[in-house]
Amino acid sequence: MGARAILAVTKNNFRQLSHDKRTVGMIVMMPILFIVLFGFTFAGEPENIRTLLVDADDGAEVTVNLTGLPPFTQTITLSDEFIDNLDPKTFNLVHSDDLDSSLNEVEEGRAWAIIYFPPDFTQGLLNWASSFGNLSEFLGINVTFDVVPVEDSKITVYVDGSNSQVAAKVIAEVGAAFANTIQEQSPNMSFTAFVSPEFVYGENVQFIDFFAPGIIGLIVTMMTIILTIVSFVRERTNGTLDRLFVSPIKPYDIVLGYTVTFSIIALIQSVILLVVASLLFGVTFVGSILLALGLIVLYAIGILGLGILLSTLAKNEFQAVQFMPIIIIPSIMLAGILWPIESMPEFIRPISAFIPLTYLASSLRSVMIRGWGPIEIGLEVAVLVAFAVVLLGISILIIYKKANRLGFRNKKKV
Amino acid sequence: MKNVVVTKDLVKEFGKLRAVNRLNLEIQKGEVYGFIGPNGSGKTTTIKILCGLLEATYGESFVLGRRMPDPSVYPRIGYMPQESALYPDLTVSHTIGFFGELYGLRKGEIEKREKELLAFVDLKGRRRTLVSNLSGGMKHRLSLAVSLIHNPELLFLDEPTVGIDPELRASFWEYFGNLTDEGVTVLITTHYMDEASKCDRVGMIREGKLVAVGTPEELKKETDTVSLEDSFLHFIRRSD
Repeated sequence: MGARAILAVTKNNFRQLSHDKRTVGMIVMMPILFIVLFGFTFAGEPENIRTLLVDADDGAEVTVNLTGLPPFTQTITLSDEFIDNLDPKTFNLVHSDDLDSSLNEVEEGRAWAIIYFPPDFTQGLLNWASSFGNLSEFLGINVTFDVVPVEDSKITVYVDGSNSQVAAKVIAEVGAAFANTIQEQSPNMSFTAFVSPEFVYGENVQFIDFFAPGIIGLIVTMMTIILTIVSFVRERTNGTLDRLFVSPIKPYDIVLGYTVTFSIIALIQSVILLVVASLLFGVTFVGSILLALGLIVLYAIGILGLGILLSTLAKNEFQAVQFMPIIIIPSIMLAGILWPIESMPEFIRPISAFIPLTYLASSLRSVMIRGWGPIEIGLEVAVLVAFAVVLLGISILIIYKKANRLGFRNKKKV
Repeated sequence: MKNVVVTKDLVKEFGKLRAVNRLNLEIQKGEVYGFIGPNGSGKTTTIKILCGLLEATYGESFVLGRRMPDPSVYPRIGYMPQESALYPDLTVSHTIGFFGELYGLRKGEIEKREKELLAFVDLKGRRRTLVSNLSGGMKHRLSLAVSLIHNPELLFLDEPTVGIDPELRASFWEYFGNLTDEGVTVLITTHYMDEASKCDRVGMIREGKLVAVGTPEELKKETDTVSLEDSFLHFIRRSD
């Protein structure tokens, strides 16, 4: 039998599905609904943050020496340069003259932050630049400048930290604008000592790019587990499983027939997920699509084994559904799909190692963002193969046990 | 005559409950053997042990010369469980087709068998009907058809006539008679006494024990009763 039997089971599964419109609808619509929901909820970074700008910068006087012209004095204000460099998408900037009234607005929750330039901002900056003896290069024109000691030249960001994500974004963006300003002013200066990121992988990668692979894995987990548990519990409760057991089909052919079925379904769902994620959210995808699909199917096979295993522990469909959270919640929390595993307390991290989704999420991420091939993700693939073999193996064993075909003989006498 | 089913001191315990208690059966080739007894008397458990679905706690059972459980007899036996045991989202025709494929039948054979069987169970006009849309009796008929798909030489039928109208029931019995003429053996459980009288031999079971075995005529004669029902009551009283 073998291949013919497997094919018969698979064909039977799909024939049943073709008459079960609700399940087909769930298989197609759930991934779309989920990725869209997750995408819209998490894809965005904080934008349009109402921020007050209090620019008290008095500027600084420099003497400009141009060839053929007599030296003349000019006031320059570097705060303007800086303000131009603030990301217009992140900030909804409102100019304000008065720090106190601005603080009031933040206190009353009408604005998230204040960016405050002190009167000595430019002066302080120029003092600092000239301490390197390179002020002319810094400003790009030949100037002379008198160092005037200043008290405070720091930019102060007053921020409402009650929303940590908004606050972090404001502070990060102000820092970035500052770094840009200095770099623009002194492109050739050797003394620049700023952190300048050079992306090895994933330039322009956003949060959605990070979590999309994990979400795809999570959706496949949910769907595969639901379908497997419900199918097997149904096979058992309506008696068809007994009927299969009393037929020539080998129990592993039954399991493999289901494996083929749910692999095909997982494949269809992965295609839907990848297409929606890249069309709707522009998720980064630099690696091989075939490899990504292969990873998802490999993972789904392991989950299918887990589903069969759980189905044998449940008396009916109602009980079976109760197993769902036991699988899903740890996968969401601990597989590093929304938060990196590195951000978890150290004693929890070993648990992540036993969650298959951990390996799918990280390998899928490597393929999608880093463009890695099968060799680079070899370790994760090995673990996923091990999960699939062990879980499917156990489930086949359990089915053999249920079919009473393990070959243990009863005691002879009464 | 050759015995196709034999059990020796068969015992099945579920925890403390002894569902089958030292059961000794001998079923001969080509007979319709009626296994009769009230609900919970151990009929279904015995059939499941004979089909290899349950492991006996003690004792032995042999089916077609093989000590059960042994999957090598599966191509030769047919099993109709008590519940209909069908896929609700499959059409009648696809149901027959799927089980035909499981038994390794070729496409042409399946089509031929489907025609014969659907005519026999009176479901000819229902080929494209979904199982979930069939009535209880129709499901039962389809279930019988499925267990016959591969022309088994030994049939285990667990309450095959429940919910089937008298006319069709009569034709079922006629069909079982035809099968035995071809050398097929049928083990059938029922709690309809009038049906039991149509069996070649009857085994009366109560609380997992055989209380009497014989042809319906023998049993009636032995207890000096006119109906099998009366003789059954008689044997029960005697075994108490």
